[in-house]
Amino acid sequence: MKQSNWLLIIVALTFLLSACSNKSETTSGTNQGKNGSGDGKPKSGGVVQILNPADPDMLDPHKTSSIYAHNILGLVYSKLVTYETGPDVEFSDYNIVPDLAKDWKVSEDGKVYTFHLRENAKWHNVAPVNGRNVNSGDVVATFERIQSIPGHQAYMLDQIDKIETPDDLTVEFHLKQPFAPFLSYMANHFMWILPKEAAEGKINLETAAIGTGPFVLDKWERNVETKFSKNPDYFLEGLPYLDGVNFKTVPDEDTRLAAFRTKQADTTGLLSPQQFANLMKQDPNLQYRETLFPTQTQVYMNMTRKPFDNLKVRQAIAMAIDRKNAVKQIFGNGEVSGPVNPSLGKWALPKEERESLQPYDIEQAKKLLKEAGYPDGFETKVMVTDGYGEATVRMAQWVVEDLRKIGIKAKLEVVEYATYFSQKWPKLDYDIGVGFQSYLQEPDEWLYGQLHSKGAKNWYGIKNPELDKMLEEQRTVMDEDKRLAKILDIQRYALKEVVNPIPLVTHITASPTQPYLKNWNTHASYGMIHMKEVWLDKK
Amino acid sequence: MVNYVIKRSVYGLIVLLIMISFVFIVMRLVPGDVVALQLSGAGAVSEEQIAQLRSELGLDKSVWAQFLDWTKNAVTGDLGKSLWSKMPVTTLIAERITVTLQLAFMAITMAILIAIPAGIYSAMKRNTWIDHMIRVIAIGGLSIPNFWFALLLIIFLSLFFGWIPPLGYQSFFSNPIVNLQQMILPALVLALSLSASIVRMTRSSLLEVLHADFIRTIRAKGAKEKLVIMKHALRNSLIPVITLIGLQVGFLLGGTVIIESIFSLPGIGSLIFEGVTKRDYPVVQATVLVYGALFMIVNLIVDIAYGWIDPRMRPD
Amino acid sequence: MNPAPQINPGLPNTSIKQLSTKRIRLRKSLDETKRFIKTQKIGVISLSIIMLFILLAAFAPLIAPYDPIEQDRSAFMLAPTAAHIMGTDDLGRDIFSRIIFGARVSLLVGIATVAISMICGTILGVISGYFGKVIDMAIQRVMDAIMAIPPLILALFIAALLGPAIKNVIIALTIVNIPHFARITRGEMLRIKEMNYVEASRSAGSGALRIIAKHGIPNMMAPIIVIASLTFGQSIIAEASLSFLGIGTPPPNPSWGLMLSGASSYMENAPWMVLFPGLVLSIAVLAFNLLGDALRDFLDPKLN
Repeated sequence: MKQSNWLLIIVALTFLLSACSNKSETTSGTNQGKNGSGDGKPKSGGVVQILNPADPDMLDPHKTSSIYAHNILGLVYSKLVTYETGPDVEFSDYNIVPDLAKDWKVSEDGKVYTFHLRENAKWHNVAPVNGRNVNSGDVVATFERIQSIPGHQAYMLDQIDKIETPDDLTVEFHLKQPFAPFLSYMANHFMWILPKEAAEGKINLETAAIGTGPFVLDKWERNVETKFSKNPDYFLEGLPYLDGVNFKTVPDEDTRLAAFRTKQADTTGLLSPQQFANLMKQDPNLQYRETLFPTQTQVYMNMTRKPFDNLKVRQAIAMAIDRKNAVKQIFGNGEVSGPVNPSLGKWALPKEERESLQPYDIEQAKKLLKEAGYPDGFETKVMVTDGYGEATVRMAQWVVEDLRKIGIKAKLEVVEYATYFSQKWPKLDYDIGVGFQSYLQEPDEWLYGQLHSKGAKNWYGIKNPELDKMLEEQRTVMDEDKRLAKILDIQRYALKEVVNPIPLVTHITASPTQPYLKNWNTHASYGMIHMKEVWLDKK
Repeated sequence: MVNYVIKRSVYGLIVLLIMISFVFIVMRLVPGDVVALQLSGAGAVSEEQIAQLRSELGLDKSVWAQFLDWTKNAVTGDLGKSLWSKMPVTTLIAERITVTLQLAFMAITMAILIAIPAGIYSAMKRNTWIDHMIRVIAIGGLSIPNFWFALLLIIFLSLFFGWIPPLGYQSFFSNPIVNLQQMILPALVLALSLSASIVRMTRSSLLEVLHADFIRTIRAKGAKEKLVIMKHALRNSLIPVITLIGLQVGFLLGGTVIIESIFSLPGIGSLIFEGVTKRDYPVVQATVLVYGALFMIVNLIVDIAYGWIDPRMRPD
Repeated sequence: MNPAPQINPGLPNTSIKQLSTKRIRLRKSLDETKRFIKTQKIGVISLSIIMLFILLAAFAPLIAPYDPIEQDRSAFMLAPTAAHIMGTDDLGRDIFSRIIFGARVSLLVGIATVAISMICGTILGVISGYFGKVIDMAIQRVMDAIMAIPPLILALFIAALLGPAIKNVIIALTIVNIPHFARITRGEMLRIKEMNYVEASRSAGSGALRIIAKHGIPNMMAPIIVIASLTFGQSIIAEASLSFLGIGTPPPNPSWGLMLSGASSYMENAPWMVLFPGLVLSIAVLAFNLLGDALRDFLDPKLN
């Protein structure tokens, strides 16, 4: 066969394939917000099928930070307070509402937090708790356990001086000093309240979870399936609507998509923009929910190395990156990011400000480099790990190309995840890096954690006394509006005077759901806390 | 025979020891610290907390001491606990090994069913276009990456037939119908590359036997060609084919890493992959040990099978 | 196929004799080539395809119309056109150029893996076969240990631990393949060692090195070549599989495996991103496998 014939066949095959999937054209965004909320009266019954890319190693909430573990645990456990979900609540609204505590009070001086527990909150009807009432002893046992276990969440509680229980349904937290983020930390996913039997070791928390949440864990078959059934004694009247929830572990994205198409799943979990586009092509009436990703892609520089100690160099790099096109091309859709991720709602700078403070200007970038003494640029390395998935590596390639345009010759260095996380990033063994931050839930974690000279995640070599002062101050401002103003000021300062880590983009993920899935009002925090209100419009 | 099995087993143990020392030492020499990884989601971690976790995981001892401890326990059947899930590694492997074994068994069976007849036919029609066709198709199977073929299969099935194997693995004993629906495609994908080499080997081995003197004698006596092949030649030509299958078991088990992940099957392939990326030392060590033992058992069976096929080959 | 045993290799050769043996060898290899072309049509076709790929790789900068790494921000995911005959990818890079440069990476992985594992494996196998006893025992057990770990898992283990780099992919695949060469060369060495002429040579006072070099290696080239050719194809596949698992050739290097493995989600929207690298990879591997098959057929005296 001649070469040209081969080519013809290949081209024909290509067109055949694209024709098959190209049933109808559609414009994106038409179904925005159409997430099946609010139409019709909720019906009880049915089981939701959810796909998880990975199964957690264990279910102990204080020993694992895996989002998959906490998503499972969120159905089973409750916190003292949680975040509001619902048809009128944005994915990124962090409104604190009662959970196990029916109300709470903060003392004048901001040092005592008092929580009153619900009278009707009961543990699941499973041995050894057998449906007994929740009391303040459970809460104390839980927090003592958290403080005794290394890692993860202990730092959220390090301002606690002592915990007291005036009566069975009241818990008082006495703090060493006023600490504004405290209430948000109480709503954090690490703060699931356990029965004291668990803290005493009578429940194996590594494989079992017995809580007060809307669902009871029936079966956890590792790497295969996790099954939940409705908790009939749930403290919120009439909830949950579902009879059960079923998680299946499906590591491969193509397989998850195929499972959704063949109706084996009611939602796909995280989906790449290409896969989403494939679905939209096939079904323009697809029901989906668009949400800001709970973290952002950052470019960060090692300020203990030259020339990144030079502010002008960092500013030049920040200006050289074409964020808007990058997010469109690599993630499908998204926003220019800021020091606090936009998924934290009002705590992030407004979109316009994020854009105006971080312009894309190659000429200015070149000028800054020249002023900094690098008119011809320099050679450097850009580190990235493939542990965050394909898109981050693409983003890093994008950044390398952008840097080349202002004369910085960067070599891409792909690092294996374990090495990246234990040897490279925290130990400041890199020049430039491209990557994600964790899904942080509090502005303090984003700002103090990353930018304070003693910040736990300041893996950049940032030392700025003025900034340190601002960061420490915001922690003690108890008035939310006043604190908000300070948090926004810190971000403006960081974007002008620190420029490290450079917030690039926060992408928007679109997760499709089957049309009969209602009230799918997901929230940016961990734990699938919206699940209690989800219902199925079938049969 | 018994002596032979004993001798092989001793060799086997030596090999396993070499293997495990290699894995043990390399895992600890390379960059990537499991403690740092486990605390990567944490906000702030003090030095004491790191030290506490390190000693909880038993990683504060010297590599040499860890190795001795582990080997001592391994002899008694205790392969340690996962550093992440804290589950005994033997439990983790027991949960998953049946999946991988079934997959491997089905793949080998399918490969044999496809490849041996194809190989015989190819040999009988030597140098005709049918022979060429069979060889090119067989080798074609070796030339497509497994993952690629599997992904294409899933995409096409879901797009054109609205069907993919049911998710949520069920064991053969609890639900044979669902189990077979889940296993047939992945086994087929694995069988594809395996059958390529079996076709080849069957063909050349059969041709070789057909040239042998004793076959000429039988032919000269006027036996029918089909009978010659089926009754006399095939039996003798199967020995190298079986050797090959034994050696290919390793290749096959390697392929399961990818195939299990694409078809969402909870086998030991995905266990070891996760173990390596998360630096879960005990899991990796134990899984490698299991792979090694499987490989050696299969090849011991192959050796014994020689004796059954050809009494002259029975080891003393 | 085994060349006739040389008589009295210890005697000094006259120049005339040398010339004539050379001529005979040349003549013989010419005849062999003719026979190969005549009997192994598939092998010849495969060989030409391989030559084509080698030429593509060698002259990549001359043939490729674009820089394989440079991103054209105005040409994302374009379907094949006259300007981009295989289309462009998600970052606006020309797929045809990437495939041509990708031939360099894929062939480099193949060549380096085959060459290093062939040399190391042959040395180990020959030593093992010639000296026997404890040395043989030790080498064989180590080889068994490597063989007993499934090759992809061993490669994964090594590549994951060394980190993603072309060099590390080669190291991983080399370790995986050494035992194949060691096994076959050991067997050959055992066989050759027992030959009368080797015995004669040894009693004439030839040392181990001389015997191995003069009688050993030259007489085991046939199986080595066959294994090498099959290993080549499998290395390219293995590189792709490692890329699929995220531990193969790191971006932005264009490798066929990387292009193929990262693009499966584009299958429906931009199938050219997936189909062309997939086809090229499979054609190349098929060519190497068919060549190996043809060589085996051709070199195996028992099949003639």
